Amino acid sequence: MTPSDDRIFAYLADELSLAERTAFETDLAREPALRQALDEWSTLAQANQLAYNERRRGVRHAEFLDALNALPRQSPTAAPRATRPRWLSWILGAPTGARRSPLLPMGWGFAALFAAIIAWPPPQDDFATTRGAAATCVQWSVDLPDGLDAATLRAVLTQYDVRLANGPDAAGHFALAAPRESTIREAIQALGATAIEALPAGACPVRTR
Amino acid sequence: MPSPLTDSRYPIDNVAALIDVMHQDREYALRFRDHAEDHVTLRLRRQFYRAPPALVEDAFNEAFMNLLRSRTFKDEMFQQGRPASGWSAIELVTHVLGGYLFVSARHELNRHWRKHGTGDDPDDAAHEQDHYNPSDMLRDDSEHSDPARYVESVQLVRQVRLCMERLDADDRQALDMYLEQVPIRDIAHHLKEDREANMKTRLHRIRQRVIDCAKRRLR
Repeated sequence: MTPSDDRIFAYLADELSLAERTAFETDLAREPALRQALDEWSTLAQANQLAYNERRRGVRHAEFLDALNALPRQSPTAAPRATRPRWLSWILGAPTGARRSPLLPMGWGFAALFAAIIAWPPPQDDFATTRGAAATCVQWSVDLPDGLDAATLRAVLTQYDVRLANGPDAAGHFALAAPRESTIREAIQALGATAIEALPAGACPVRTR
Repeated sequence: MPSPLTDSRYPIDNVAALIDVMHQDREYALRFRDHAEDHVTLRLRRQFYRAPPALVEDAFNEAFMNLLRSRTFKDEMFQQGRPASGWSAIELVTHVLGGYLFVSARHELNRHWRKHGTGDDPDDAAHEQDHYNPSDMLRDDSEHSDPARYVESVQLVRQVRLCMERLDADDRQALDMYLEQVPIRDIAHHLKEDREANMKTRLHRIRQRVIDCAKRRLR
């Protein structure tokens, strides 16, 4: 360790006298290596902050969403609509709430017709219940809010026809599965849960009646 | 993390409209909050090296909720330079609200520091000269208002974080303790180093190893 390093530790700990501090800051302007070492300690402190932020994110999300729910809306219908690049809208469709083209229902009609032909005979349920003919389900790992009770969870999953595929894992996250991503997103929103990541699609879990 | 190409955009004109959008699109709300948190807390931590991470995060949260509750932020700031397709969550932070939130959070941090801190903040004098009044702040002129430079600096910090996780247990603990403001003599005692000077040498080497690792990963 050089004497400069010793001074950096003293400077960062605010252990220098005013004169020593002034001299150190003058040296900082003259010595790039000294400046770089100080910058590197700052970057390490930022990394320490980032790690802390990420550890606390689940709790902070829940607190933020609670606080957001308490904030009044300007108007229930006045929220600006999401926009997407035109080329993306052709692929993904218009975002929720956006004005749709009058031609869009025709497009979906053709899509539905083709889907019906391809999938004939139609399945009795979105979730296949017979072994060997399992439908594919989109799956998302989610963080359920701490205060969620079982009855609410069951009611929301039934309402949106979404299943609990797995969980909790080591991080306390659950896997939700549904044939359509949109229904999972709606269920996540209704539950006040946090979407963690998309999981590989898999066979739809069997419905228990 | 969603791609900037597929990230939702909203033509937000004021804080009330932002709140409406956040009610409507929870994913956008959480993305906006997380970008704002990283943007403001990393900048604060660079300036207040000795501030504990919990205090920095609390300061951000107070500033963030004050912004949403008070709705005093100037509407024209949402309109200046707004893309035709509206604001994405990260642009809302880097172009519109980042500077305001930073000044506001720094004020909260100073307040907390005086209330709970261990003594005078070395940066206090400089901050007092800022004449805190975030609603007068029109534009964030720092490097943090440039999304490309901001993303680049966050990438370096993320790599540094990953490299810190790769340290062996004792070195990781030493570094974490030092960055959490544990005195070096206490770290030396905890890790059974004979002398404080040896502990400083060890910390110096740990810093070099982590930074070298991060630079290698970024190449």
